[in-house]
Amino acid sequence: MDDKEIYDRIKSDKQNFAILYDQYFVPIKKYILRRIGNYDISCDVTAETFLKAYLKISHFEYRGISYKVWLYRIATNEVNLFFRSKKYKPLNKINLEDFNNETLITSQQEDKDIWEKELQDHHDFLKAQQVIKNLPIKYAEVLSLRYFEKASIKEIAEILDKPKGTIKSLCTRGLQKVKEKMQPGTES
Amino acid sequence: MKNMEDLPVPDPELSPDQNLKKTILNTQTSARIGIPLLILPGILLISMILKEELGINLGIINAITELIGNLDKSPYTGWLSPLIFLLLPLVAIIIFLLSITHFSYNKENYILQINIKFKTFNIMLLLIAGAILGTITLYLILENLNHFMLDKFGQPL
Repeated sequence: MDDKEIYDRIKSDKQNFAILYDQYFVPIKKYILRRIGNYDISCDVTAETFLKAYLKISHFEYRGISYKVWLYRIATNEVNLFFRSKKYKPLNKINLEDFNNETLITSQQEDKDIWEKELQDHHDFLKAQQVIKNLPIKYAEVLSLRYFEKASIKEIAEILDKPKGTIKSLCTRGLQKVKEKMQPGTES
Repeated sequence: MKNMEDLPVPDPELSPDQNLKKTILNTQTSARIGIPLLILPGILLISMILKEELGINLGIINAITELIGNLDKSPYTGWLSPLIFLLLPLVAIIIFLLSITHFSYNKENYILQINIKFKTFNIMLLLIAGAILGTITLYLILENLNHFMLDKFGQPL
C-alpha cells in the first residue's frame, strides 16, 4: 500500500493508523535500539514515538514528505529528547501496565533476549555506538542514520529537515571525531 | 574498525507489539465518547438549579426549564427527561469506569484480577457524571417523598 492510499484511509478513519504501525514499528524500533542500546528504554521511546505519531496523525499533510520520513523524524526527536533530558518521561498519556501485563512482558522478554544476543555478535558496532552516543547530538543523529540505518544524504536531510550540504558537513566532521576517539589510547 | 560504510549492524528479528498498538489506538477514546453524554444533562441541571434554588431568572434559563416541564407533561415525550437525566450520565459513568479499570483472568489459578488506574482526567469526569446522576436521583427521591407525605398526611416534607 502506498502513502497516498494510507493517507486516504487514515483520513476516513483514524484507526487505520494501525496500517502505519504494522508497517513501521519494527524498523523504527530497530533504529531506536541501535541509537540507544538499552532495550527497556528503547521500548519506552518507541512507544512514545508511535503515541505522538497517532496523536498528530490528523495534522499530517500529504505533501513533500513520506510517512517513513515523518516517523523517523519523530523517533529521532524522541531519542534526542532522551539523550538531552535526565528527566525524560515517556508514556505520559498512557501506561503500558493498563494492558495485559503477562503477555506484554513475555513478548518483550523474548525480543530483549534476541537483541542482547545480536549485540554480542557485533563488537565493532558496539564500539562505534558508544563513541557516537557521546558525541554532540547534531553529529550523533546524522552518523546513526548514515551508518546504522544506511540512509542516503537525501533521506537524512529530509528526516532532519536540514539542507543536504549541512548533512554532508556534519557527517564529515562527525566521522572525524569518531576516528579521533577511536584512536588507540583515547578509547574510554 | 576499518570502514564505517561497511559496518555490520545488529538486525534482530522483532515483531510488532500488538498490545501497544491496542493501547495507542484506544488512547482518549473513552473520554471522547463519554463527554458529550454529560453536556445536555449538565446544562439542564444547572439551569434548573439556577432558577429553582438561586432564583435567577434569565430568559434562556426560563426557556430551558419550561421546555423540560412541557416535555414531562406530554405522554409522547415524557420519557425524554429520564433518558437525559438518568440514562445518559449512567452510560457516561460506565464508560469512564471501563476506561480506568482493566480485567484479567488467570485460568490456571482461577483468579480474576481487577486493576484500577487513577487517571486524573477520567476520574474527574467520573465524579462530575456521578454528581449529576446523584443530584437528579436525590431530587427525584425527595420529590416523590414530598408527594407521598402530601397524600398521606396532608403536609409536605
